[in-house]
Amino acid sequence: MIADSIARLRTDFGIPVDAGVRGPVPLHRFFDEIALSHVAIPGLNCGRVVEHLLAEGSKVEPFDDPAEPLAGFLYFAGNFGHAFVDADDILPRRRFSAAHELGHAVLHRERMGRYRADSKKTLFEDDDSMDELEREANQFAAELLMPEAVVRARAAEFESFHGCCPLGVLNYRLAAELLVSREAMRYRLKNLGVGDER
Amino acid sequence: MSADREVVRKFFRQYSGTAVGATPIQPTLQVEDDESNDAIDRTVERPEDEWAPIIIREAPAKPGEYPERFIDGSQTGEPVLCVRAPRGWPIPMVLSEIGAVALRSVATGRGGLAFEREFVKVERVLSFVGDPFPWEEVEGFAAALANHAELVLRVALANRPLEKHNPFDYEIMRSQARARAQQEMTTLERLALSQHREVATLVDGPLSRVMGSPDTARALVVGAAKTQSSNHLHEKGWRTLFDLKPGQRTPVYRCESKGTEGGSFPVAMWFLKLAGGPQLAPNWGHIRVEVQWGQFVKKFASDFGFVDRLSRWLIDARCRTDSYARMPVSLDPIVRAEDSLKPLFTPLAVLANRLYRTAGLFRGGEL
Repeated sequence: MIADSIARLRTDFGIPVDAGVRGPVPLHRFFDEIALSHVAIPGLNCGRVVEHLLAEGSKVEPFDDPAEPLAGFLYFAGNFGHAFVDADDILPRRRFSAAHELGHAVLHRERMGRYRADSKKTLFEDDDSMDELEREANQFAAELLMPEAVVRARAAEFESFHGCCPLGVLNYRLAAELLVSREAMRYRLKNLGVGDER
Repeated sequence: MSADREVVRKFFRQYSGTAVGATPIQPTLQVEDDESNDAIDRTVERPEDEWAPIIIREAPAKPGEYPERFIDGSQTGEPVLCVRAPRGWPIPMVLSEIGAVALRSVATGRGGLAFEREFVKVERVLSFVGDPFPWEEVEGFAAALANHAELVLRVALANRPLEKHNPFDYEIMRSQARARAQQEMTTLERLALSQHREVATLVDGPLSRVMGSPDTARALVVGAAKTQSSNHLHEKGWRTLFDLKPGQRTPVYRCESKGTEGGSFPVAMWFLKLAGGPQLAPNWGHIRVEVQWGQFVKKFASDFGFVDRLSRWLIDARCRTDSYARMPVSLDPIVRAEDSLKPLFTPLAVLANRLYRTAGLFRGGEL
């Protein structure tokens, strides 16, 4: 289902996966096409989101615990959506958080209510108790930022040119190319079963 | 002879005075602290208080006990651009060419040995601290450079400095960018090491740097570290190291690094004096030899005869080219590997000019 959603977005927006092209997935184009704004706020929490929205002239009621540190936050007012990420996170994590919020916007718009607040634990830790929506948003982010076709194409290049595909090297280079964290890439490679342990 | 001169001579005789020349500056030894990640056992071969130089026996190494494959990496890079982050921090961009090569020694028909290059990879990298910039801008920038036909430049984002550093410190930003390029080079060395696991291999530098995590199932891997920044030795160990003559080694000790990416990396180590002669500073002329602890114990049954045979092989393979600045701590196969890699690099000025042209900068001037 999630793969289908991403494939549909790619077709609709004219952003196909092309493993021959190097570099990160143009995540910002998906935001542009969906008309979802994204903002990075230092020390992200609900209180700061409210401050930001009020400063922009939006009328908002306070959300949950205003001081709880967050990695991402998604808010809709009518048809206009705003995705927030923590500006203090490293760049790959900010991108993953943004893609995660995009996932909520695409997959859960009808189910999520007015907003969705995501803690760091939700986004960056593998937790069995994670709810379905969070798990799906994480999967959306992983599949969007680390396309299977690109991962498999790079692994095939290693095999073709060097006769081996060491997992650590593949992980390091793909994470650098796709601007994602090595932890996220390691998890993706494990799920796809790509790369030699040695 | 005047009494004054005799006093001077006596002083130097008494305290082993030797002439030293302009040997390369070595890194300052790390200060031991409570968070030291290395667990050291110096009693592997001898009790700590019985450490003394060991004369290496002449027995030749047996097949499998000496390396036949040699891996070296190289990096040339300089900051060529500086941008200001949204908060005003100066962010140098280091343009580097990095590469790794593997040479293999093969028998020639005339009973000699020759080296064949069986792996080589050279890449261009632009490294900088990227965290201060909006992700959407870095994303577009990285994709544009990676697909630029003339440049084919991979963007590698460096870690931002620790909080204790001032982000307005240009030098700390530069060192982070350089470290990232260095890491890219290490990754290429690791790729070279992943091939031909059945062949005994020597890598230039500490094993944990190139291997990341232990792999004892493969053929012997030897690390040869030229520079020493870790303080592994006790006082008697240091005196033993400085007493070494060419062809001698220290006793073997065990070092387990805990902070490596693979978690823990135990290694059997010893120092080996390759070269002596006039005007060598006491911290020059020896290398630290490393073998995975698991291989030393299981594959070589903790045999110190193996240590001697490998050491003898390394001494025989030492570089003898006087004109090479690092000759006293270099091994000939590694020098050859480096020599086969460097000519493949594009002059940095050419690459920088291509980047300036792409960036709309002319002759390195302003936009």
